Amino acid sequence: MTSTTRRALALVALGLAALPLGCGKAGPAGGASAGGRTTFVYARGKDSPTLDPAEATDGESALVLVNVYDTLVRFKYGAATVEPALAVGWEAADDRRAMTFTLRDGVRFHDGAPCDAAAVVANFERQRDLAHPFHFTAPGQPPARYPYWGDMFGSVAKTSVVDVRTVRFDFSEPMPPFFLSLLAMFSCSIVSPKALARGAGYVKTHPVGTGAFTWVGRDNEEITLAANPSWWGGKPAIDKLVFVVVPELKNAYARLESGQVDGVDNLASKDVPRAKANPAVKVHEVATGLSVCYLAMNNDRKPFDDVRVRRAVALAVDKPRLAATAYEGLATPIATLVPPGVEGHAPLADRVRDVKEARRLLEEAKAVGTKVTLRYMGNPRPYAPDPGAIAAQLRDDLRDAGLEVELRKDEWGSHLKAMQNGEHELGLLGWTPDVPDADNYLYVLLDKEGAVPPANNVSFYRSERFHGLVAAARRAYDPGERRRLYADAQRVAFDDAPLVPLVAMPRTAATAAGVEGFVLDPVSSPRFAWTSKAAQAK
Amino acid sequence: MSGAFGYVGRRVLVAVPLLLVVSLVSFALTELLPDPSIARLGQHATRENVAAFRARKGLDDPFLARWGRFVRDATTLEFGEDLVRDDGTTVGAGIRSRFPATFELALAAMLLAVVLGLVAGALGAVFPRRLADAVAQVFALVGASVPVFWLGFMASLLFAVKLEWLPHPDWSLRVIAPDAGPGGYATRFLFLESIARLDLGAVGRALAHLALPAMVLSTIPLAVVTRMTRATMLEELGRDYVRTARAKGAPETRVVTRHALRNALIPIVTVTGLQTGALLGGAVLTETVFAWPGLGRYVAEAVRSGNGPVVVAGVFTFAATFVVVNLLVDIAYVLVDPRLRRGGAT
Repeated sequence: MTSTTRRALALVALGLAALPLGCGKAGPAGGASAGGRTTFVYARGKDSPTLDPAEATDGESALVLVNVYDTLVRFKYGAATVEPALAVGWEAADDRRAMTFTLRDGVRFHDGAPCDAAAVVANFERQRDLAHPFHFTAPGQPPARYPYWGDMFGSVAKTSVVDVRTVRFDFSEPMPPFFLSLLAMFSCSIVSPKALARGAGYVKTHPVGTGAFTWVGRDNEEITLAANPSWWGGKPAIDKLVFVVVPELKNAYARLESGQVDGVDNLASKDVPRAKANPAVKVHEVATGLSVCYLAMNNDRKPFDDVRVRRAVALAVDKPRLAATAYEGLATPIATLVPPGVEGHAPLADRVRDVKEARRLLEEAKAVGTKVTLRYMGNPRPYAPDPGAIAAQLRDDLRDAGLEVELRKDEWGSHLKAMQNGEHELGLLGWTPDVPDADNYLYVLLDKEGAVPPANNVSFYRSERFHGLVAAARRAYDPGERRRLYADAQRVAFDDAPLVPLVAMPRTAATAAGVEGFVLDPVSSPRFAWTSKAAQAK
Repeated sequence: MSGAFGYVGRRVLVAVPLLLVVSLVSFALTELLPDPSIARLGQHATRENVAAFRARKGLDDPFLARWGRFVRDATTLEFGEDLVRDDGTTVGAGIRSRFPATFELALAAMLLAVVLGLVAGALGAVFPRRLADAVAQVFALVGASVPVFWLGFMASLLFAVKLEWLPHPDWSLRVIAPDAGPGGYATRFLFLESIARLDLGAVGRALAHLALPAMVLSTIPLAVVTRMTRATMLEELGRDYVRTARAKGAPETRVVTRHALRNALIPIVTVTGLQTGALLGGAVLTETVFAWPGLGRYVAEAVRSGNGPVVVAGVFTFAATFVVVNLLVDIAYVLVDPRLRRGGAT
């Protein structure tokens, strides 16, 4: 036997001897954690593109940000209402053109810097003022507004330091009634000024906040955080929080069942009944989903420029069947885009499917037999777990009424772009709001100001009456008056039928049975400050 | 020796324009990808955000300007910035950090394919039309015909869910070597480095996590190697020198392994080199099915999100790997065929 052969055989023997050490039923997630420390592994579908809160617009970045950073106010754990966080109190001026916030005493950033009024103001001013040294601009490019600031905080004229614990916001017009909810968004996370001073590259990759967890590092798509022992809310029960990317939902759920992860960020509809039947798994759902799915009709294109055709489409769609089949019974049919439970929702009685009446309307509009294309996305979305099944049922429903519907599937990016540019006749789309308020559905998705390509109002609905009501609601501070205006706006939209609201989809997640204190937030990304699991002794 | 260097040098020189063409064609194809601003900014972005993002990334520049920039960035092996992970990370850094996972998976799959393929093919040739041959033939046919993604799901279901023999692959330092600590496994070759460190626990865990994807990925090359070995061995076993060896009283094992198999190796080595290309293609599917954090999944995700530079750099890396592997195959000819050592490789 040559020495090479002997070496090869030794290597094979080494491998075979070692194999049993790694085989068998997988151990608990996180592997061996030294000294009984707990590691919580949470699986999600994608990586975080950026960790600068001012630049982030997506849920995956938000998942990291809400655990590392605090905001002045925050959404109550498991609720859509706000409560104090870095600010312990606030007061609005009578004319709604100024607001002062009193900061929590003694809070420090993870790098030791104090979280005082100057730090808070630096964070808001860097977003507001394009010339601010911390308003990061790419070399050779003109400064651009940060995503949420331009869209939602346009009325903030200035923020300033009153004293070391007091911050003042001045508004150029009366502030929006839902301003506190805006401040609870992850884009208003307070970043350490010392970190900001290190530049854009640092802030995007090394989040330094005051939150429950501190940044440890990332290994490709795997992000690790550690408990912040001096968090003002108390040290979190888990020592290490790891976010891993598992793109396929089924794959992620299988890892939860085998104990390789402690939680999964989303469940495939088909896995929900199986998960509920498994005693080793806890399913978490938000009772009323904030994500809505709708069938958009391009009001600029024939035959959908005719309200009779749009009403016929609305009459032809069988929403209860859609919710029961394509959504596996998990979604709730909706009559208006604002789902139940959201401030401003109007409890409208929905149209009952009536194919005869739908056909009569189409005949009246001379649209029977018209060939139209229904575009849908190839990838699952939070409001459409199986877009192909939804589109197929819509096609069949509309065919019953007399429209010849062809389906066209596109990859998500291409689909959204085509819809935003008005290249569709019919199209499947949905929305997950930034704040739980009727404004974030009605103004964004149906107001005429949003009907310019690339549009969020992909129905290209331009009703002056609707616009008047929504604009008035934006200035109404009396809750009763706001509700009345939004109810009227929803009745107008229901009657004009620029789109067909289909269903509201609840958010789901699952954790191992031994995990305690995990609550799925309706608005915020999951926060782990109050989550615990049994410690693993080595 | 200088002849060999000259030969390698010529092959490298030929590879340069080849890789340039690969980059141009794949760059042109990325024009068909979706707009990366959707994947980066999501549905909530405003017109202004999208315009600023596209301007910042130079996405609205003319095609040739963008390709020129890509080629310039490729010379430093950085390939520009990742469009979707928008934190300044370069595509080159992304590829370098993922390549080891793909390399180790491909290596394990190729080793499985070659070892099992040689044994099964040789057995089939020595005992043609017997049970062992029939089993090998059926496995080869199934391996070549069954789609990798289907096989992946089924193998997971059987070995990880039903039987619980193997874990769902989780190729992470946290799992393979949880005690390594910061700075451990700097090479990122989790399997090879755990062998080098003689960390038996880590080797075992690495093997367990490698087993499923390597098995699935190896099916196609295994089928090809088995069939090629069987065919060439059958041919060799019928030759005069084999009859002579047997007539001289050489033991049958020696006749098969020392004489026939060695002479059958040249076409097998060729096909193994070519199969590396198929293996890299298969890695895209296998890595996606098993959430393997390698280059294949990186490229697959980039295709979905319109992350053009990652797609082109990934294809570029696959092409370069293919060229290198085939160069190694050419060198391997010299090792297995003494005649080529005298005449020089042509």
